[in-house]
Amino acid sequence: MVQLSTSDNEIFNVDRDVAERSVLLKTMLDDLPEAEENPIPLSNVSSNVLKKVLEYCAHHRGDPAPPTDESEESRKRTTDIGDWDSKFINVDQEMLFEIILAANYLDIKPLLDVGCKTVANMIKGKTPEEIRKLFNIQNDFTQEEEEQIKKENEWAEDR
Amino acid sequence: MSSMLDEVSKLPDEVSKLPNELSAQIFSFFNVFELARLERVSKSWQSMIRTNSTLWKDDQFDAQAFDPCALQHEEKYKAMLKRCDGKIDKVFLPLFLPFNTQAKLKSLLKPLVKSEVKDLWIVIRNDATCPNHHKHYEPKVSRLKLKKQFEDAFEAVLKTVVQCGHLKKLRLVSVPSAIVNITDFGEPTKWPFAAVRLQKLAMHNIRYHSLFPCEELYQTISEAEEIELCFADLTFWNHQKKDCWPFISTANATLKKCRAHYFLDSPYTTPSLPITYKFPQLEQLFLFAEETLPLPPNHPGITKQCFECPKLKVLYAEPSNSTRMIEQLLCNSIEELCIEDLPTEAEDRRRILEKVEKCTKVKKLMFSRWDSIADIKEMCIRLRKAPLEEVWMELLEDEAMIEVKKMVEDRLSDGFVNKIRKATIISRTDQPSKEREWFAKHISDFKSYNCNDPVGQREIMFQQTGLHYFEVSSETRMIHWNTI
Repeated sequence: MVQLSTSDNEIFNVDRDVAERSVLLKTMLDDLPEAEENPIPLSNVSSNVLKKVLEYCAHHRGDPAPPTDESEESRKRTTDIGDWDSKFINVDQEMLFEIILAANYLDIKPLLDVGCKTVANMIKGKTPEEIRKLFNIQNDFTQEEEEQIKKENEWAEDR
Repeated sequence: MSSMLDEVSKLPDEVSKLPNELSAQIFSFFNVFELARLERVSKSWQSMIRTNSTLWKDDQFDAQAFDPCALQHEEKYKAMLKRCDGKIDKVFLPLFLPFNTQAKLKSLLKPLVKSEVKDLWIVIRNDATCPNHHKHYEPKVSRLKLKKQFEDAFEAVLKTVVQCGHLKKLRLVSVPSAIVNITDFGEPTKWPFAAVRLQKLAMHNIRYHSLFPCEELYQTISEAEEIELCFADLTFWNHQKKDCWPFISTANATLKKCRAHYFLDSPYTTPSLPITYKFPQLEQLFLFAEETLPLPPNHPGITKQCFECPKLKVLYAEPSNSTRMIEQLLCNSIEELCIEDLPTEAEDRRRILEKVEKCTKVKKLMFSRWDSIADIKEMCIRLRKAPLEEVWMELLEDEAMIEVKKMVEDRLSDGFVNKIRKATIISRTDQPSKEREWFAKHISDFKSYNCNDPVGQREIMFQQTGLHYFEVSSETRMIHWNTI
């Protein structure tokens, strides 16, 4: 068992193989044997996010390690997400971005990938105006700037 | 209330708040066309996207959703060069001749040499098709002028390619032919291209001698996994009186997919020695014969040469006058089979069908307009033990389709463990037909396309193999199949 302490001082007890889905925690546990005795402080992660992240790690505890050498060639940019993962990541926007940041901090590549793919899928096929609405973004281009960028990127329109 | 809302939206949005490497990871799922449109969301998105040069190294071109408007791709390419600081890795670049002088082509292509491009796909065309911009556009120019245009373009392209020393995948596609005098390009073995080990090579309507004028350069493909050599016109196929298989077999140890003409000796060449080409890794082979090639029946090309491909899974072939070779290729590992037009001569026919009967792993079977009703019947009988899952019917007459239907119907009965679950019909019309309705009703995964509409044509080319193998030729075929 490993103890993790969150930014809001909640303590989570997790199996070591679940914790080790995080490369950060795995390195810590490998390097510092005493880390198993004391709670590991995760000052960047709140309890509700960690709970969610651990749910992911527990479900994927038996997965084979992802290939370390991610060459440009093998990298398939498909936005497909597995069934369990897509249900798991069906959360509100705030939580989605929290999960992405936590996965990045804890170094859980497959989870980070699921998070980024989900955001990409939210954006895919939408017009700039729809995207602004989705993420509550203000259009800060002046009309001239908008005309200018439209002209520069004319090649990408009307496909 | 409204002022509060305004304030909220002035805060950076969730995507902009992410560290650079994370927003970059999100944007990496978009192709350059999508990225250019995303730049319009806000200033912060524009800067996140535009200033990240790695996003612009690869156009992430999707052959299935392509827009063949050449001009649009030229602009895309220029925008990529600007934003990735000239470090392009991968680009699809159709060149539209009437809008490009040789000088313009040269300056367009020059940055590629410096870019250390790894995956290059160039299409040289004298027409353009673009549903949104100018529909089909083919300027009328004299034959002589057109020939000159092609020569200039070939020269500009080949001079660029031979300077690219980092290529991994190279696809060169053109429509008609032009002859380039390769001697102007310096000593071939000194080209940066000579150091390349290609993984994929596809050349359509470009003689391989133009790029591989000497055998020393064959080593460039010695580790290739995919090779396509397709020609619309046999007269330049036989230039220098060589066939392409000694060249292709340079890659014999690694070759997995191949699409090429039969290696028949042509009537113009001296008969070659008996030879067996061994491809231990080859899984997919697409062969097409030339009907224009009259060969005497005992020509060595028919009787002495053969293939050995023990791992072959996919075979598309027309046996017409190469019974012996097809006989050798038909082996028990084949899972996807298309034999267009069985031989009519009784002995040849018997030999092929006996081998077909031994293919007990075939899952996908394809019939085309060249198959007679008798052919379809025979194939169905011979493959009765095969675990068929899918049938493909391209431009079959109703009577022929009835034969396929009978076979599928038999296999839907209780006695069969393996049921056919997938069927595709390509026809020339959208008119309802009884047979099509039957398949639609009984097969869960049923698709029907009209080959006369562009989407249907594209589907034919892409789905024929299920492997997107025809991505290059679709470019040519879609626009030019009827004219070449």
